[in-house]
Amino acid sequence: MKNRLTPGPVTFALYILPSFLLYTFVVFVPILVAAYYGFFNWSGGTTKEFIGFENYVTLMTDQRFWKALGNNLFLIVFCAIGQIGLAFIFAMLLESRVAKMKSLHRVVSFFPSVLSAVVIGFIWSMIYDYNYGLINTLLKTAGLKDKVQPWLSNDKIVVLLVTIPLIWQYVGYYLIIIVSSIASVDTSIFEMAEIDGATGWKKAIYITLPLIKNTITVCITLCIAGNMKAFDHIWTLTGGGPGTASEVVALYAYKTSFTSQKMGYGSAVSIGILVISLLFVGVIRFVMNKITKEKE
Amino acid sequence: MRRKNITEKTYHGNLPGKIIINLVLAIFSITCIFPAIWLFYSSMKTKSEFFENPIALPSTFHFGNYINVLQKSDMLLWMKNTARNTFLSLVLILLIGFVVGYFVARFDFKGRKLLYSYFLLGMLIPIHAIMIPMYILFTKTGLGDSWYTLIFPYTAFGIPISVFLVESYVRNVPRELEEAAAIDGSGFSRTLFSIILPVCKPILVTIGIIQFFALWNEFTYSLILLSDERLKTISVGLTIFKGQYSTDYPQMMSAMFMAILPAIVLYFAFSKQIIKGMVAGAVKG
Amino acid sequence: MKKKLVAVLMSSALALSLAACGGGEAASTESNKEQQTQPADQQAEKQTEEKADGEQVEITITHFNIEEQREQTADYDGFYTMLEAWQEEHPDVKITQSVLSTADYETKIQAQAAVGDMPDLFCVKGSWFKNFVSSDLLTPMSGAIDAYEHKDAFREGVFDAATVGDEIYGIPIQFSVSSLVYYNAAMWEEIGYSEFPATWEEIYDAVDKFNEKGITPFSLGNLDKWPAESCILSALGDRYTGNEWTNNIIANNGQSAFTDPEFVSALEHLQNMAQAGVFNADFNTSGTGPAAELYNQGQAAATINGFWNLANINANATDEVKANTKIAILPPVEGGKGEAGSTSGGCGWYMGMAPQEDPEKAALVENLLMHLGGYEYSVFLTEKYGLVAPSVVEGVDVSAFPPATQEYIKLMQTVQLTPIYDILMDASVIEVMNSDVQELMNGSKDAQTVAEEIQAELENVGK
Repeated sequence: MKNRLTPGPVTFALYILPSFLLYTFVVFVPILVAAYYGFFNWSGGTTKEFIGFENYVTLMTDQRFWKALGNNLFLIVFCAIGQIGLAFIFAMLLESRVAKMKSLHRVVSFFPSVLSAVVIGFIWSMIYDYNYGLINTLLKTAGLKDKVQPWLSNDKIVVLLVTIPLIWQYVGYYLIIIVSSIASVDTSIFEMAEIDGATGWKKAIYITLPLIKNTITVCITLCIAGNMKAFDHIWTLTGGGPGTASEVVALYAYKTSFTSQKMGYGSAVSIGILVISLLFVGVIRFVMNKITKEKE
Repeated sequence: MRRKNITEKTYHGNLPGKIIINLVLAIFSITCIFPAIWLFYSSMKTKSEFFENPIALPSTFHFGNYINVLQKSDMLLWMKNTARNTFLSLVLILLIGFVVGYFVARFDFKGRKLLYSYFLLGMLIPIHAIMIPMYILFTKTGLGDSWYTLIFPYTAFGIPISVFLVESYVRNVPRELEEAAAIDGSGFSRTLFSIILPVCKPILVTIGIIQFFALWNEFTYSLILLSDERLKTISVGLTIFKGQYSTDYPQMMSAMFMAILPAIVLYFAFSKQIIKGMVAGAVKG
Repeated sequence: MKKKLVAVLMSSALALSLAACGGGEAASTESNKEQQTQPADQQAEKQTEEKADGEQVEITITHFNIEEQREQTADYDGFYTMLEAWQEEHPDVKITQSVLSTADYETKIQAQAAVGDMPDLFCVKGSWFKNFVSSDLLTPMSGAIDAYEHKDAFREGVFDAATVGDEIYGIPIQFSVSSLVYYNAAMWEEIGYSEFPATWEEIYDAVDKFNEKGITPFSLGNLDKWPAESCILSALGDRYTGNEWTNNIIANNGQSAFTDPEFVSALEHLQNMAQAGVFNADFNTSGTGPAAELYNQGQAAATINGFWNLANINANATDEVKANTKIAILPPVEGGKGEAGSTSGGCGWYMGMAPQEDPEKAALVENLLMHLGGYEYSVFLTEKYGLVAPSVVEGVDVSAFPPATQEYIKLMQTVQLTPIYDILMDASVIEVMNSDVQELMNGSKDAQTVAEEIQAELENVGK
């Protein structure tokens, strides 16, 4: 009876080991290799020179890296607010009983998530385009000619501008997760709340939100992981420019290795990204756990 | 039914609210779908027509761009390659995600937490950061540049999210299921695949969908790990249409549209199932 | 239930193959590429069969000459024409190509270089040679060049970038002039300039006049960050610093610095241009294509671009623009150390050969390489496109070429060439320069800061 419920060591190994090995080979070994290359002065080709911790030490004070990381933080914060926040609002609207064509909205809202970054980048570069772009066309029609500008050249708002396509693309993704999580909550709780007089936004914030906080934690974790890896949209829209104004860490790592041909240092940057991502996720999980526990 | 009564009480007579809610939702949905529609009808334009007014509808539907794409490129071969890579990797991702996710959720073995975290680590790795080590590894082991090459990274990097989702799903599946099966004399593996797997179908559909589109659009591994022209995937193939000095946007757009067409067809054909799967399967609150 | 899942997956696959087949029918009626409809693994089988029955030699080439763009790009056309001719003479050799766009090619070949896993022939950028040679990725070519029947036809200096120590490691496949001013003579005539201005005061004056009329004076597409540096700063910088400075920087011998006042002046000059409205307002976010298009459609009075834009104008400009296009170089600067009649140019891309084990194959690959970049190649480029090619080809009748091409040929007879920055300077120095120049022109960094940052990178590289 017991071994029908719990597998023995052999069964266990048979099920887990192949996946473990594949994953280790493809995901973990390259990380180790990258960490190892981080110890070399290596400008491509097959010759490299061992320099100890120098690359990692340089990274600590590399302003360009920290600035790029700042942009990632901006991305994370704005995407968390924009993606998860908007998704929550839309989920609430969809939950309201006056909303029509709910399933159509659900189907359509997820749609941008299926498009490739190349397509998304192209669409948004057309929206921001100076001569033909949607924004400038609208401004011209509205008679606001002085507001017309080459949007992505504006280094003060460029990070925000590259964040918007990301938010747009993934709102639907989080919307579906949140809607389904609300659907799984026992409906009697909502009924009780309504009898007690909690309606509309009050209900959303005081009743619904606390009930799905685990889902929100998951969403935030996904949001951090996704935005620490951000690359493709920004690459197509601005290439990190103007200058380095919209550069993010993954882009910096790539440019260091391939454009500047500093492969050793590029590897060190990659390891830096991984360590910092782990830290972020750890901190967020810790904080969210704390909040959860305090409330209980 | 009681719920309905409350509804009517709460919202009756609040017509402006009703309109606003539906309007906001409608606008949101339109912004989600319009770009794809725009991509489609713009691809039917001629270059000069496009520059005259990028948003207007084409005067006549002009299929020349599509014919051009098909004639000039190996688009169909690329699609076939991409479909094969995607399909095979998807099968493996679902299988591995299911098994590992289930084990991690159900059994309290030594190092469980560590194993789980280890499998999630992959979610945090930017592809561009490990391109060189990956290339070196695949070349040195002779696994590069074959029809099966991409299945390795595709599967391995699909594991984290699928383990993550299966794990949280299985934790909400009552243990009594397995116990009842065991009493009926079902062995471990049989229970796993004939009892648990069907129960997990919704979450597996969700994973399948998310991964399908990610794999279909994947670019970096295809670029780095494959050299053989006959193995080229769509995303890498597409780059030939954006030459340095080309401004033939409608041509580019028709290539892009062809590349995403299978995804679109699949998405809308299965949309009901997809959303059902998502709703039933996503993480419990 | 398990069956159901399988069924879902199978039907997805079916839907896919249906979509693919639907397109397939359309394709087979429109094109005769039957290999498209053949599964890839079948093709692979065919290939192994071929290998098995004969002792077929296979030569692999990785390059960026995209066949789909052959008609619009002279070098690509030249490459394929040479390759096809050689293949005809050597039907028993199997040539396997791997083709990527230039940007992707650079990424891919560097990954390959990191392992030392090179194709037999591949494209090499001027600034890569030192590194690739020290990693033993290239075969010395001096012997082959010495033995080559047309070796005297090669232009002076074409092997400079490919020379490491006393050995030459690559054959030039492109003769590049990166800074040319294409201008629409009719438009300049209208504002009172019967020829291109010889001073910067006149340029700024013309810029004001064009801007008043709502015409973009000079179109520039600097989204990819290299155009401003390669097409403008390379030539403008030399006007201020002179040749010697540039060569010192390339050699990184510590005798010149980016912080030298001459170079800082050049940067200031570039910043002034950007801020005086010389370029289209979106020059930093516009791609090279749309910027070229502005000129081609007669919406810009001029554009500063490389020789490659010539083919673009001939292929895509309106007839009026084509007829009125003339070519000039940037005007001299006051007190500059550089030659007035010079602009940036030289050989940028080479083709190199990986070290070979089998001497018989080595001879064959070498033969192919000399054919791909040799005299016939230059003859083809010169006769068909009127280009200045790596080898000097004399006695070509120019009268049949488009007017813009004739202009180019005329100009090239008098112009002296100075080094192109991004082809010869260290890649990481160029990366910082390109990025900083974008900010310089955007007005968010001043010339001194930019100069200091580039210099810091140069010193960092020298360590």
